[in-house]
Amino acid sequence: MVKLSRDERIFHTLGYIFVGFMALICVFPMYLIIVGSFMSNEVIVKYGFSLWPSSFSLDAYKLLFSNPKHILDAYKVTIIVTACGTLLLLFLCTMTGYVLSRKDYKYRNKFSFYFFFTTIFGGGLVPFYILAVNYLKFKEHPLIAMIAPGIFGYFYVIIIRTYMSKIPSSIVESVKIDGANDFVIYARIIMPISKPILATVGLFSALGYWNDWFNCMLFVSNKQYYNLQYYLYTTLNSVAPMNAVMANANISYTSPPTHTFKLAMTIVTIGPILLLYPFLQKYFIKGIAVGAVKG
Amino acid sequence: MSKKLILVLVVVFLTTSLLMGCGTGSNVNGPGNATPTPQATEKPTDPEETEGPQSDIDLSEYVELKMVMVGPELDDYERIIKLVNDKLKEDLNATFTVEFLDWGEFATKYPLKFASGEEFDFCYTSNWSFYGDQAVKGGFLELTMEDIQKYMPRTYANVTPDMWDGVKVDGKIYMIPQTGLQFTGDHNNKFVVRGDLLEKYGMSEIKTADDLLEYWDNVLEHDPDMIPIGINQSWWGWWVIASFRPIKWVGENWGAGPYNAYDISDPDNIKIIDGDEWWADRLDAFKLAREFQQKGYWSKDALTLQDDNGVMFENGVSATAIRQITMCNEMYEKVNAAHPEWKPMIVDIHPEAPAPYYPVTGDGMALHATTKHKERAMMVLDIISYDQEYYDLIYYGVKDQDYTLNADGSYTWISKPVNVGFRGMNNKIARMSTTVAPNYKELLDNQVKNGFHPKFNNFIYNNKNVEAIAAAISSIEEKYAPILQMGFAEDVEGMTQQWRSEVEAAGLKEYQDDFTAQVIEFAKRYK
Amino acid sequence: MANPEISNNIPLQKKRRKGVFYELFIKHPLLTLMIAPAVIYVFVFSYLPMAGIVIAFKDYTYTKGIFGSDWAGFKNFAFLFQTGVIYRVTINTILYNLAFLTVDITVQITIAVFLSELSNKYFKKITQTMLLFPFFISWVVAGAIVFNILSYRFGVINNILTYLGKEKVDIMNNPVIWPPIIVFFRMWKGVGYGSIVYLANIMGIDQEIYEAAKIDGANVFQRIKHITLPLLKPTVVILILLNLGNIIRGDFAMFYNLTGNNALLLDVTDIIDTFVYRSLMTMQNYSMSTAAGLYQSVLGFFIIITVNAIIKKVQPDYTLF
Repeated sequence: MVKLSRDERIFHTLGYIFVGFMALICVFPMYLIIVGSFMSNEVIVKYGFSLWPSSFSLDAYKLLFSNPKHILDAYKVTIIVTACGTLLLLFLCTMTGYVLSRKDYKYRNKFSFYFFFTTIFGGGLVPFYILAVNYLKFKEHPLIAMIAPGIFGYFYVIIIRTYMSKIPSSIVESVKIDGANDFVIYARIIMPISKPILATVGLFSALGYWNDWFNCMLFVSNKQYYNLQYYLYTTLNSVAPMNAVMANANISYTSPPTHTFKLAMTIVTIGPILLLYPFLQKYFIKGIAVGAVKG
Repeated sequence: MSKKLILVLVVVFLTTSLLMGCGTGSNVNGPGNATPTPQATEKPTDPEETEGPQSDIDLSEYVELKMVMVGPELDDYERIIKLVNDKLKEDLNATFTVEFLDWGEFATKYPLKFASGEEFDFCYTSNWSFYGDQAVKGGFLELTMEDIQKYMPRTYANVTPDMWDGVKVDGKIYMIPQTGLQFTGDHNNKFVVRGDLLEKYGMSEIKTADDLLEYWDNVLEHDPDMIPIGINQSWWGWWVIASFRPIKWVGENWGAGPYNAYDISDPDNIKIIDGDEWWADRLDAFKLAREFQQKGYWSKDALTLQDDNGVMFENGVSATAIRQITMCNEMYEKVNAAHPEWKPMIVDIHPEAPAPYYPVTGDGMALHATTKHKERAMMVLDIISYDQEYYDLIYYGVKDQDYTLNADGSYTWISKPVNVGFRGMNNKIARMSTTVAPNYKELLDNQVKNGFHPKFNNFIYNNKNVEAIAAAISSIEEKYAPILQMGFAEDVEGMTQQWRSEVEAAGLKEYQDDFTAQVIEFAKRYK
Repeated sequence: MANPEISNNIPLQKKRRKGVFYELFIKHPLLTLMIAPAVIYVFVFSYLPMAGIVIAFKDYTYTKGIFGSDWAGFKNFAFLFQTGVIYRVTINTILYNLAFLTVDITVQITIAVFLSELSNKYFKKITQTMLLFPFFISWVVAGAIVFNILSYRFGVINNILTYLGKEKVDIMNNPVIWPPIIVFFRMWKGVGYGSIVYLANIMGIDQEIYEAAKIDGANVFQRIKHITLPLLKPTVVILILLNLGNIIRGDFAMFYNLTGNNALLLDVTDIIDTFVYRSLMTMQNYSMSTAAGLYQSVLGFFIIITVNAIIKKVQPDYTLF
């Protein structure tokens, strides 16, 4: 262990305090949610969340797992969609990002603009829905419907591009002389040194797919293909914002889900994805990227 | 950034416009094309199988229909739909599946299904799910009386001509209204209170508005942890206030418009109440709301509260639930099952008040404009809506397994209530449960006795000419209404004045004029 | 720029044909092939539906379809400007977004820098995962948590006040406290997620630079100031640029759920998206909602084009396009 100098000790102390504090702030609500999910609903409606469960009840989880098949199916769908989607996204976005990072590719800025334009202008939901349902037949292919709309993101491309632009061009040039073509350079040279950014984008993409309920809501009507977040979404939003006309219409909810059920559902949907992060953290080690090239 | 690139994008954009144009146009266009030609009666069906519809209808082709329904999927749907379809297959050579749109997704998905011309055959519709709007935009198939008579004989027998008139949009029928009893809440809501608390406070019963206020004062005094009546930002606040104010203008033949009211009892001489008179009445109501809020009848966080009136009552947070009569009974049954010791009871604080029926467009079913199986869809709708055997199966489950039928036609659940039955088909032939509140029948009879159909009820306003103003007024209203109706304004008069001046500046007059013109036309047409 | 002789084997005489075709298909055919999937994908999923923007200029009806409906001119935009509220909510939206950008980036970079320097492996692993928790908490649940802290009846703050023997306060309906609350929760939700990008970029920095600086006697603060932060600059600039394009858009779910749609707070919490929601909630009008979206897009587009042009003059390497 290297001995720390004085400024480093100060810096580290500050770091532990700041990061620790932020981490606590982030964990605290999570703690409330976990505690709340084990309380009885009546107590929550009456007294709100509490730091220590003043009552203990497994009702929410019992209800949640009363039909475990649904939850298990949803896990399966979410995991498949997340895995396939992330792999496709990584391939498409790194390839695009690499091309855009090549300074000798004359039209790279034009292409950038072509992509960027779509982040600002969109046709809205109706044309997208018509395209997806009537032409791309998303309704008949639920898995594709959940994967395809998310495999490209300009945000991902741009962070990949920025990262790759910093790779010294001497590395590319030296390989080119050896006769390697552009694809080989991308696959053999650039990708390995881009591990931190691959891990980042891979994680973002996985989180994005994991958290997506919108495409599932729009295109999936077969229960078998519901994903986890869709279940969470319907649980949380079953009391829709309504207008005055609707109010008069004598709508009876088949009792809105209880607070505890919402909390338990939140816990269940987070689960496995959190395990992914520590696994990816090995790519966030200083110098790994540059070291790979030199070694 | 080069101009050329922008040019390219524009060209791309235009080309796609053209391409997409052809596609969607043909897709959504012409519901007429989709309907099959009148059948040539190749193969007359067994008369035994088709007791209802005329027997010259061709049922040789098996069809699978799709229904779009609002609300979450019913718990027992899968089990029951199998049984229903087995019967349907035999009777009409058709089956159907249902796509449920849960409340959270309904607002997004329901209109999309029409906009995209997605395939489905029939669906739920109502005034609050934009029946008029949807009809004008061409989302529904027009139903002719001949077709109804031919393919929906049971419906034809049950729905009165008045009701058919009521659902007309631009003179055309697009909806099959439901025929069950439905009243408008508004000034005529009932309350569910807790008998155990009444006993504790030494009160015998609640018969008048004053009794109810006494009950609430007692709650405040003896049970400070409890809220007399729970309200949140949805709509309950206004209902509570309305319940304490007798119907002033929205009496017989009165209708509420945009910041005014109409008396259309004499179509040639329509009276309009607006301006100062109308706002003065509102101000009174808001002052009452302020008074209630100050007394603490509802909690200080009502404006942000997620839990609604019912949830708070069920969980013992509040002492009163408010809703219209049939929903009151639903609440009673639920609470009585979970907490019989609370001794819930339904009370009516204005038994003499006139009880307006709910508009006929309040709940119903419609055919999708692009359905390819118009006849079969109508026949299926007819049989599941009015054939007692089908209806019982759909609404109460399997006889002697889910429920038992009593001699008087009522039903009793055997173990637990079965969660089936669709919205929009609560029809005359519905049965009554034996777990209803003891005074439910009596209250309902009283309600029917006082019941009337306001002439204005079936008016459907088309805001096409003043959309921008309507939107602007909506945004202003959403800003002030919740605060004033729930009594959170410190300066009630000032804020009401502010609200008035803002909507007037946004073009209220033009909006009212447009509305009035349509009211006059409506009144003349249906006199 | 790379020398053409090196980057491909095209004979010299062909150099004169420098058209688009030459650049794309002769000079770098493989690169063009590599970018083609994304170009096609974006065309199908973004440009095709983009044609639907015409709805904003139409009286859209189902029977006539998107392109067959009658033209309506700018009628559908009228509601935005009917009352003049649009100017206030546009400014609100921009101010909120600027606050978000500043606070988010500052906190995220601070976290990333600390995490990259700290040496305790377990602390880093655990805190990083913890920081990511809020990302999974939907705004509905986050709203419930805010309610449970501020509620008059049982909120944490009022419980503490009662415990201390003080009067309860009605903080929920007090507009003043809300802008900081919203900015805080937005930061809270994105801190773990956002810091990862910066962390990954710090990890890509050559360690030798640090070693050399250390030998030259630079302390840790100087090393961060002179090495880490400058190297993060391109990423920061690009992310800011990306966000500027959508500076006129607000996160409706966040505002709606955190404030519980409380009308008393509208003076400080009203953004374009909530305003449009309130305007159109009682009608079902795709034309008008598309018009509102287009207003946001056009405004955002002009802002970003301007900023991008300025950056191109100052720092050509940092531009978006």
